[in-house]
Amino acid sequence: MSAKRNALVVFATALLYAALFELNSLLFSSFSFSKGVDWVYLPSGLRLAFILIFGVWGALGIGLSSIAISLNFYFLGDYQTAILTGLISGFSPLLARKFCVDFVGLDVNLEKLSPSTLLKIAAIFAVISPVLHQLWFVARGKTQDFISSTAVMVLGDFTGTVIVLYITKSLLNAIQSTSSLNSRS
Amino acid sequence: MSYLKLLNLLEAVKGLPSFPALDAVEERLLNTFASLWQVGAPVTVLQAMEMLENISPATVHRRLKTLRKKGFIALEMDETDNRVKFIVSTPLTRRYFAKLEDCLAKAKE
Repeated sequence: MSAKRNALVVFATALLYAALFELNSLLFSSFSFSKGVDWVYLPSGLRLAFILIFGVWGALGIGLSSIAISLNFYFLGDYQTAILTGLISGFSPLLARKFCVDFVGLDVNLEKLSPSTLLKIAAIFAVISPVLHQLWFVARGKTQDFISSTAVMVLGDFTGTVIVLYITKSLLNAIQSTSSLNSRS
Repeated sequence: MSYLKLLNLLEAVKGLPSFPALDAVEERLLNTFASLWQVGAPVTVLQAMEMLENISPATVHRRLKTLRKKGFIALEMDETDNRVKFIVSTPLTRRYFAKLEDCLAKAKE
């Protein structure tokens, strides 16, 4: 990919991730377990897709977006915490992808990706990112209860990913039904 | 390359499971109910237990419970006799058969 395309990917992923974060805050703010820990976290679904499709450039976009989110919503003025939180948010899924390539048989080009493998990958993504986030929060003294915060974050990330996947599936089905109806008429 | 990855990902998303899996007895029961529902015939639990040849009423009763748990059937009490329960379809049942219709239509194409 050219530098221009890469920059576009970074910009688009950052923008979409931030937009979905806003939507998640609007829809599920009442479901928050604690600050930064949600029972449902929709952006995790987008994160999975961006990392699987765009790899490191997707990670960079998510990382930049997460830094901005952390600075504006969670760690006002605490640049060190915000920047590393953002980087964990962006790059821990890359680690999860590496894990899936090594142990789940994921092909980096997603060839022959089966629905069941996709769900396994979603679960692995939903575990690795929260664990690293919460380890970092413990190190910075930002979390009171590592176990419950991690458990809720894992559940929130997985639920969010499944919701995004099924919304995408419904949209694809709707598009397919519409196009098959059009082709019949 | 990203486009191909997107296509592969969407293909996997399309194949995500939509309905709870049914075993052979559950499927037979549901198909039998569907043909009766289609002609407007009410189906009671008692009738259902005698409907399938070679399947004991106890097995049918167990499968009725699992079908209900999976959301494929619901039970409605008879207005005049509380002992009689009717088996009725649910939105999930209707989506299930609509999906089968769709698959059949695609296969014909």
